[in-house]
Amino acid sequence: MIAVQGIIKRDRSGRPKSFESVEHITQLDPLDVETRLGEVAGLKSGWLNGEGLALDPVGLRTLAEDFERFFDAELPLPHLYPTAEGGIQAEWTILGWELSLEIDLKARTATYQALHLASDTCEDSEFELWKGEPEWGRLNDALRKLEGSKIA
Amino acid sequence: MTAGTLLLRQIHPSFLQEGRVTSQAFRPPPKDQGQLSVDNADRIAASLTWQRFTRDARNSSDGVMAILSEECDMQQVPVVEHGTPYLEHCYLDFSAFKKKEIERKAKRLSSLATARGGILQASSDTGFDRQAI
Repeated sequence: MIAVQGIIKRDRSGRPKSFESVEHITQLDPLDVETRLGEVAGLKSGWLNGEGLALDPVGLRTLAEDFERFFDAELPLPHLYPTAEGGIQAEWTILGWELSLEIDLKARTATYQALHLASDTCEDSEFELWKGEPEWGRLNDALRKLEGSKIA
Repeated sequence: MTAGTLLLRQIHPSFLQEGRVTSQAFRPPPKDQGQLSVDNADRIAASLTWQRFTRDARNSSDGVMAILSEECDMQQVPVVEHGTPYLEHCYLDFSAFKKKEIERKAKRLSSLATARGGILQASSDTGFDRQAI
């Protein structure tokens, strides 16, 4: 997956037609957050086999911006999935831990759970992501701790 | 049904990213009162259950994943042989558990299904890419 930055020509309907010039071509991470949130933004109400709320576009843009601004770029990117309730669930698999972060896009809060499958150790936590750096910092710290964990 | 019976779960396309399935696929959706629908693979082939599910225009599925009946028992999740609206329909009954416990069980079941070989993906040519289940 790549991102292309440049000047485009549009057709009479205003739709992109062709590139006039290309300034940058960037290889994107397959888990690029902004791209994935853009994909799920297109889901309509009822997307999940007749149920499933549409996702708030403003909330998705804010979440993408917050990830860019506050999420530690040294940490692995999450897989991102829509939830039936109109939120986003971020998930990571790190050294035998299964992690989920269920994000409420409107309240900008999140429920975190980390389960170590072999030992059955489980950590639950809540994050008030609307507070910005301090709470995202707590999330980054939680992930860093698991990256360094050595539970057998 | 035996301990070795495979239970088939349809996987929505939005629950799959870069080959990884969300644990949400193994927790009951909000409207279903703690019940997670699965099909008994002793009674129906994976390809047929996928075809039937996707015949309803409201439904979407990229394929199925499978867990063993005994794996549900190990998680203390009862498997109910419902038989309605069709003979092979079963559900996993999460109704006795609180949300955080459901999340933990969903993570374990998802991990077991992934370890079994991941999603058996639908393909327009053959019905299914692999016929292992």
